[in-house]
Amino acid sequence: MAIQIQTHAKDWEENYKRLSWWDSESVRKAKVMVVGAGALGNEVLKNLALLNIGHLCIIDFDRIEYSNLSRSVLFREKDCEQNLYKSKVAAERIKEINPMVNIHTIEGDFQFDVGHGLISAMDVIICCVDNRLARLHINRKSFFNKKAWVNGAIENLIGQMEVYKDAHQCYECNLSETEWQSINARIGCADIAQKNIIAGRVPTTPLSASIIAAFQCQEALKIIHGLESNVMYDSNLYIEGMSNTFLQLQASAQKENCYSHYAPETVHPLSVSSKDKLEKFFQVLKSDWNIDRPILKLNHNLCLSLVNKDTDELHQVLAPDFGLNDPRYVSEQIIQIETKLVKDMVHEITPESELLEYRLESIGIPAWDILKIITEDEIRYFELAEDNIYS
Amino acid sequence: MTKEINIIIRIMPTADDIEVSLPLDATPKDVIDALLDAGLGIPKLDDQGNPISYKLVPKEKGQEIPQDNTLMDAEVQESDVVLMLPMVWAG
Ligand SMILES: [Zn+2]
Repeated sequence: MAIQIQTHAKDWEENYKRLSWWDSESVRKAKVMVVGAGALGNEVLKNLALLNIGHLCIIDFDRIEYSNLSRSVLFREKDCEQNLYKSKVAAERIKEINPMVNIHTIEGDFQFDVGHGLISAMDVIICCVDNRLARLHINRKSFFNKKAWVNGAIENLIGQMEVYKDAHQCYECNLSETEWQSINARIGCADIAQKNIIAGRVPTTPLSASIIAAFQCQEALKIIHGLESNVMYDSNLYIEGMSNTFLQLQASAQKENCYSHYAPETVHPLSVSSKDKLEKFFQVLKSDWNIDRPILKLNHNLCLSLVNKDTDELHQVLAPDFGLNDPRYVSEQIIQIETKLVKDMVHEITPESELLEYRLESIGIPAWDILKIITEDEIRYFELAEDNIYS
Repeated sequence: MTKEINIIIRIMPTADDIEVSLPLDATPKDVIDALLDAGLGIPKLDDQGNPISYKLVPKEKGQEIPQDNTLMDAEVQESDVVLMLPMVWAG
């Protein structure tokens, strides 16, 4: 009797395909940004990799410390000994779990280092950060790009999860006076290192992290599948493990006059990269879009000179106001100045500017950003399309 | 004088119940500030010294009392159980 041997092709989703609602193509094409690769971020990333999400984008400026290991399934002791970035190590370990996942990492701050174009390419943003200021910016940038974002937060055995999207509910609209106080305190900190000193002392467990992360991924999966009516846009999860409290709270209505609610109607692609000089940027605006007298409006102030308040010495710089302690923008000599007083700054640039020789990235514009241009009669938005990592 | 109602505030995460009489024109902030100042041992600050943000949620309705609403606006009734939930932010 001849024995027939059947071989089975490897199919990661074989099990998932038995789910009536599962759509392999949507999952493989999906782009999900995970902001924060701490306790929650580790669990979220592990789930997304297991689910075979096609494209992940991990944002975190932090490096791995020993204290992270007890709540971070993707990190090992050798990673903190080598002082490695959370985002890079998480990407490596995810590849070990599922080599088919495409991963982009940014070792930077969501507010300053993540371009709007990258956000607009995402299906959903998952928030795993450890402070309210970052959540506020995730809300603003997600709303600007008409994207949903899934918030998670944990402490002790408490876990919260909410899904924010314009016309459903807004994080900024719901902030209490006390929450604004903590946001303003963080804004008051001059740099990331200082911000980190006041962060990360909250007791968390891998238990609430994995519970909340699972809910976050479940909502993200529904969004990816277009199952909008099933998404928890209108109710929020609040659980407390010690008292066995499981609440589904009704979301609050959005308010008027909230800074988060603006989104441009149209964004035009521009054949320019953040690595190009301002001169090329203005040339392409003229050649491709026939814009003669544009004004580039920056989202930040661009510092041109500052004074060392201790010595009254004047220093010429070219750095965004958020980068005065960042070696990407200023020299070690400037970083060492304890009390800096910005003397000259601009927040808009024209083709007549003396700064045309400088690259967009050197004045604080992140890769694949969307820039606001004021022309004689209108405001228009242009995307730095040459930075598109998915084209 | 504003009419008062008797309700139960359940402080989370300990789930301790406190019976209180509150004026119907009180806002969530009024109630939370009064409870924090009443010497009941409810924590005001987190481990980092930041003020803890609480929200009031009538247990049956499951909806936060909006910050600019009064107990009357939110239709809080005599003997209602109102949860006082700390909002968390770590990740
Ligand atoms: Zn809002």
